[in-house]
Amino acid sequence: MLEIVAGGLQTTVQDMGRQGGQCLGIPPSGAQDGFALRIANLLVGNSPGGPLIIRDDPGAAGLEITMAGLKLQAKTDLLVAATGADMGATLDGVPVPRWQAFMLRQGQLLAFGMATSGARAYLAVHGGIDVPLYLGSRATHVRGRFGGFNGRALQAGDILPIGQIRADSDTLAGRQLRPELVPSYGGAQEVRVVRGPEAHLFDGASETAFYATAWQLNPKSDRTGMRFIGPELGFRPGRPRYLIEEAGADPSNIVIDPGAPVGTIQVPSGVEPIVLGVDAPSVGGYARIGIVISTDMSIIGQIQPLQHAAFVQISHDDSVAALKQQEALISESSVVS
Amino acid sequence: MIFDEANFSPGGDRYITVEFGNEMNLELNFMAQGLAGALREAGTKGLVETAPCFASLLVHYEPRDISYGDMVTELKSLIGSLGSTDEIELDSRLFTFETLYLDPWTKECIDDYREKLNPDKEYDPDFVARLNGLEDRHQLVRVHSSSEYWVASLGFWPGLPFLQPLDPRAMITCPKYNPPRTWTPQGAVGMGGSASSIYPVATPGGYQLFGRTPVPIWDPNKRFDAFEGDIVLFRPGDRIKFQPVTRADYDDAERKIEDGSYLYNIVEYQRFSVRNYQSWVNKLDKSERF
Repeated sequence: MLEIVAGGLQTTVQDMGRQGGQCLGIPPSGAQDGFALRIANLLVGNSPGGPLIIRDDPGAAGLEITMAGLKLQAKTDLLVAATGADMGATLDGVPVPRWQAFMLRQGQLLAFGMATSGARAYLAVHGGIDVPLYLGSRATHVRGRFGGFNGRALQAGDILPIGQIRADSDTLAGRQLRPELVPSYGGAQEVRVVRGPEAHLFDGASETAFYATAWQLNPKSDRTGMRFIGPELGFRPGRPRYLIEEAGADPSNIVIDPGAPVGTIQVPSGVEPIVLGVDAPSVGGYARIGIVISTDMSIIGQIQPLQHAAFVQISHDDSVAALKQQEALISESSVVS
Repeated sequence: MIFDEANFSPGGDRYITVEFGNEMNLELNFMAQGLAGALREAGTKGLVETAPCFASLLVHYEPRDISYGDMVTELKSLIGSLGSTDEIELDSRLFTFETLYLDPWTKECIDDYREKLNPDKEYDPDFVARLNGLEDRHQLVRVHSSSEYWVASLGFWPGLPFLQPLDPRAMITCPKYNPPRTWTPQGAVGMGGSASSIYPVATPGGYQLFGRTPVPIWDPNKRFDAFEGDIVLFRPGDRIKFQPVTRADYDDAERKIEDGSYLYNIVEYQRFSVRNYQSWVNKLDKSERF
């Protein structure tokens, strides 16, 4: 078991998310940076699960630590690994490496500070965080108050149950991600995008500006939507009459709320593109200029408030190739002992 | 318009949007739900899940199991096998909700909005009635409660239904709030555009409000059997009837909900036939109002 000593800004139990809920308005939730959680699980010998919500295998549940402040203590010896954002984690005051499995001994205190690069750190525990499944997943949806640990962010005093532990789990200590595969979260980030179904509603100069701009993450962003600060985008003139009648005069409103899955970029009234995160509902009423490819939702999850990011358009074929390439990395070949 | 052929567009690397048209026409939603059912039955390899929207279907697939092109081919073939919209039949449960129209709680919410954000905002029921050429707020209640409502899709919040009246004589429209409200009471009943909805929980919102139901449509603690182990009540293709009740009946239902003895009024034996529906609609004089 793990005892939470301080919950930090927002720490939640997450796996790779739930599926089958989109037709009911239930978002997938799960880790915003799936790559980091899956690698952490791989390092400690857990199931990493499928990419972005695959039925029957959401992978083991770990902790998603947002920006700062989690402190926890082991009630028993546990094999753990911390990945994702660099929060200067320490074990009884001694720095611990990221992207590497290590033993958290009974009574030892693991503390995370402020994120210096990246926005979300992940902690995987051998055996997984063993909270009840809801719709096939242990992911927390904080706004809906369901899933995870009592449907909420963790607080001091919470005791987290851990799943089945193999007797030889300590032999996995020291396993680490090959150094060349460790992502860098600093500087301007590039996020790959496939052109969206309503991109043609934007005027040409605005669509060009969308890809040419160094956008800044609005600090008001969360797992529902990441908002980006930058120039206002315009729409082509000559909005069809049916759109004005059915959806109103605002050119970003499209007649009928279309499906808006994770990664969809909407630009309400042309101001501040919003990338829908893993906690976003499945419909949205605004023109979709692009959709962030599923692998790059991990990058989105690591952008700090006011950090810069650029959107790069790629073809649909290349987005599938990127997915296959990343899936190949979620394997033992990426681990060194 | 209704497209002659469905329009397919990729949504990133793992979603397809299938659009059937671009107008507020229930027929488009019947097609979206019909295709969702056909996909479920076909058990197509690589299909992850579907989500019907009003005039489109969002298809989530695993691109490592099936390519975009092959999935589109599969979808085209299933759409072909559906035949004409008339042939579509869908399982459809009917829910009856005790509703206190012109209730004090949404009135308080509207008053609060007027005080803080827009003093010129007309009382929602009067505004919607005036806009639609109805006599007064009491006729709005008669018209709104006259029809069954079709659950076209769910979204924005878990279990939040996007409802359209099945009886064209109950069709009314109104704009959403601008700016939106900062709060709305749980169970508030209202509408924006031509869609009605029930607020599952207290949230910000933009619909014009004119009633409230005490009956939960969102149950994270899973207290009621009607949810069948889920936390949301509705599925696409369900129907809802708002039954106007007195304050005493409202309070009585609320008491039963609190002590757990409330009985949900759900009818489950019906199937919705698009053909029967259309032939009924064609017999109506759509200019009539209740």
